[in-house]
Amino acid sequence: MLTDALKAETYRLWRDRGAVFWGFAFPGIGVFLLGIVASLFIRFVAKQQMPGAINLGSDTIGALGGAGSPITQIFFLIAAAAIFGTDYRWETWRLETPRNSRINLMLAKFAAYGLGVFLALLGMAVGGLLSGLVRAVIETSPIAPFDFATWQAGFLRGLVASWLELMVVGVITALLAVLTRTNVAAIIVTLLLAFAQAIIMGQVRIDPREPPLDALASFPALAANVVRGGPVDIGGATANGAPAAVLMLVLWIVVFGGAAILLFLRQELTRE
Amino acid sequence: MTTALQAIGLTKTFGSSGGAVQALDHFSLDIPRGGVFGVLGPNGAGKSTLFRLALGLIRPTNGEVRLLGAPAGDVGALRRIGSVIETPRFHPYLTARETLVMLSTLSGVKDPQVGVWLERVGLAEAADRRTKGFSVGMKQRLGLAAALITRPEAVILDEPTSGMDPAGIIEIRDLIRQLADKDGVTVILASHQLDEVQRVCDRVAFLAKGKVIGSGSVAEMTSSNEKLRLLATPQATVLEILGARGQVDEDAVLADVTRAQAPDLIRALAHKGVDVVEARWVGGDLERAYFFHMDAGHAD
Repeated sequence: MLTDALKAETYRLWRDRGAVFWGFAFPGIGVFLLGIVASLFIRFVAKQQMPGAINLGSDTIGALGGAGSPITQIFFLIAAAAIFGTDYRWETWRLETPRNSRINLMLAKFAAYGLGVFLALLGMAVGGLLSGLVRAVIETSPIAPFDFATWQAGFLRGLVASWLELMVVGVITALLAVLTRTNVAAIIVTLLLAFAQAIIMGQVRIDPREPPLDALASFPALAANVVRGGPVDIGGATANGAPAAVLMLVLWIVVFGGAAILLFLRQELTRE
Repeated sequence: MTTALQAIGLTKTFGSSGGAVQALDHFSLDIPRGGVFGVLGPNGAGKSTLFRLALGLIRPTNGEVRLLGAPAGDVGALRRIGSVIETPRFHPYLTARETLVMLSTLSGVKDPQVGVWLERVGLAEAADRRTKGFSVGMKQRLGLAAALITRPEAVILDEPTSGMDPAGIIEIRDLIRQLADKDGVTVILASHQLDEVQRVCDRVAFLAKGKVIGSGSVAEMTSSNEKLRLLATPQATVLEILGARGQVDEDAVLADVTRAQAPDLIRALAHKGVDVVEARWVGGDLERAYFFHMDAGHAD
């Protein structure tokens, strides 16, 4: 029955072209275009030459790191709202809830979102790779030798960190969509939370060698950065913090996702 | 044999304290399997609330509702039921065909025969159009196809012909009768269109203020208000024979007799030398029975 719900949800989602394009495809396209625009600017406007060879492996890992930006998260919010808020928006729950269990319907939405995020992250990595290749042409720079072993570890860490971080965004959107029964409120509130988190993290100084658990628990973005092993604003993180950071991200997903499911199980669908 | 739908002391209150609205009030009703059962009542009588409770969309404040013998919300029972609650709504970016594929997949139907059902509800030509541009009548037809595509044992249809043109109403009425007579599907139908209900239903229940105020077969309901209209002379003799069962209606007399009693009455009139110019049955429609029960229900 869960597989039926998942098949139906992915079938529906794939046909919601606007949500799929802006929510899952555009981040990859954006990474590609942004890389080229930046390269053109540096080469022809600033008239500078970036030193050294272009490292395509780093470009793909860097592209994954873009998922931590609140701007990038806007696109994933569009997808999350289209998945979790669509049945409230179009009042289609009354057609669907008698056909499968509510828990399956919600789990299928989480799975569809998770799958979409995974593919979108791969798209972002491909976007980073392609923009690196184009940059090599624009900047007439050589391409650095590819070290698969180093790249593999960094890429997997980046993929896991970004996927978990975007799943946190998804479960918060899901909870808000169920609570408010509108996808607009879910988008706005989640976006405000993402920006607030980015601002607070910029202000707080944390010992990078041993990030405190309460900080990891409070800021999913911090936890994601620790997993990536490449801090952006708060200094370098050590590999020691990664398991705790993963645990915290998983806890966010379980707690908020669980709350969304529990609320939906008890929700009275008086209009939808 | 279990009932199709059984409500036992069902109460549903929306809101709380001062703003509370009681949609169903210790409501009890057994809807048997087989045939077409009509649920009638004015707006706010509790029809949609009853259906939403049965489908597990909302929870009762008190009491119990069972569908095919299983508690409300039981997915196993729900998968044997089709439903159209109020005007159905669809994802606007899906076509009619895609909507049915998605919903049948959700129900776990292996061979949904989407084309057959689209044809049967008269949407074959609009199969590949997005539902965004569908009229209310087209949405009703698609909702009906969505309800039937799982080949259910029973269907709950809430105002299935609202927004349809007269030809569409006849088509859907015929389809409903076919479902009951040929496919053996129990149809539970809520409607405001009393003449339609009379034509299509076998049994009905009248609802008012969240309670059942009358139920029975359509034949029973309609025969109870049927009268024999006699255009006969001399009228005084007719009234004398009928006594309390006679009532003047312009130039005729309305006789409160059953169809079985009618031949004896005609013989008695002839025996007394009355010339019967015309004798025909009047009333006998669900509308009269409906308003009779509504008036009685509201008087309570």
